[in-house]
Amino acid sequence: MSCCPFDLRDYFFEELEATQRRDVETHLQACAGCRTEIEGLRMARQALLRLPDQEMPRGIAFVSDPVLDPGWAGRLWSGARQWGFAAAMMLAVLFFGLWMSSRTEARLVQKIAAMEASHAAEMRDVEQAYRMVVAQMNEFYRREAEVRPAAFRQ
Amino acid sequence: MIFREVEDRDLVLAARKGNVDAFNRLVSRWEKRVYNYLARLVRDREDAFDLSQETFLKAYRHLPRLEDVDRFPQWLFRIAHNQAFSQFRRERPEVEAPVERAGGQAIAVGGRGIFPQELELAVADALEQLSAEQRETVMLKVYQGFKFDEIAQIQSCPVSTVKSRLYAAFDLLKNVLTPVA
Repeated sequence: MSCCPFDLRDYFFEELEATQRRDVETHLQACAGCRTEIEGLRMARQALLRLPDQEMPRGIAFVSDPVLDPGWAGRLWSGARQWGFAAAMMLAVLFFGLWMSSRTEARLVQKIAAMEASHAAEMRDVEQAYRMVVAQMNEFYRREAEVRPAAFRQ
Repeated sequence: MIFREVEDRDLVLAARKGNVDAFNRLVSRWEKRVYNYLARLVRDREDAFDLSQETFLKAYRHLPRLEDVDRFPQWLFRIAHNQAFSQFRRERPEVEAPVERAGGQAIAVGGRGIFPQELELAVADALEQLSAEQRETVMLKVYQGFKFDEIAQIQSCPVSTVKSRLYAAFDLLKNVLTPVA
């Protein structure tokens, strides 16, 4: 059981606040046992730190590979942007469909009007021809009526 | 004129916008530390290199998910930790919890006449005697300088567990690496 006011190991690993550190340091000046404990920890850490860092066999540079770079198309199609893009595309398709539909309808109306106009002109021609035929027939019968009584009279 | 070195957070923010060069700079800053952490943890240089590559690839892909850009180092080591322990579970389950050799053989690292190579071997042997979790905690505290709460995040465990792992590891290391009086 340590006689130190705080855990010596927390002090050693620098996890105590400034005031707590000062209390431990004051205690260490008077306590040989705790100094020995700290010295053991220090030597163990020193030994660990003498283990040299290992060099990497080669550098990690794969992220510069353009294959992994999403590029402008990939960036466009990422995160929230993809939903915005999809929504914009759907709206564009919808508006295009509506525009095409209204255009077709206008064309149909135009075609029907032209057909109706053509039909009315034809009807007018037929009516005119009919009237001419009727007038000619009337004229024929009128002349016949004038000629026949005279013949009977002869 | 004041020159301010570009901080990790600036590079992270740039990388999140698709700047590959910014991420490359992060890689060059952190690759050696991540590699050494993994090399000491998995004790195989090739495995450590492969895991380092996977760690940075995963970090690159998941960078948009990093909530606090100021905690990039902890997040990166968390990924490395997951990579290493996934490999332990996948390939070498016996490495995950090696049997601790209680009361390991004392090695006179502080004695006179010890050569650097011998010291290196002694330390490597001492680290071998720790469990994977204890060894990792020593790596993160002694070599990487993380605070207890940061290590707790990396290892996904309470701070009390971090402390008990580190203190148990140091009790063992003190015994093994104690200089002969």
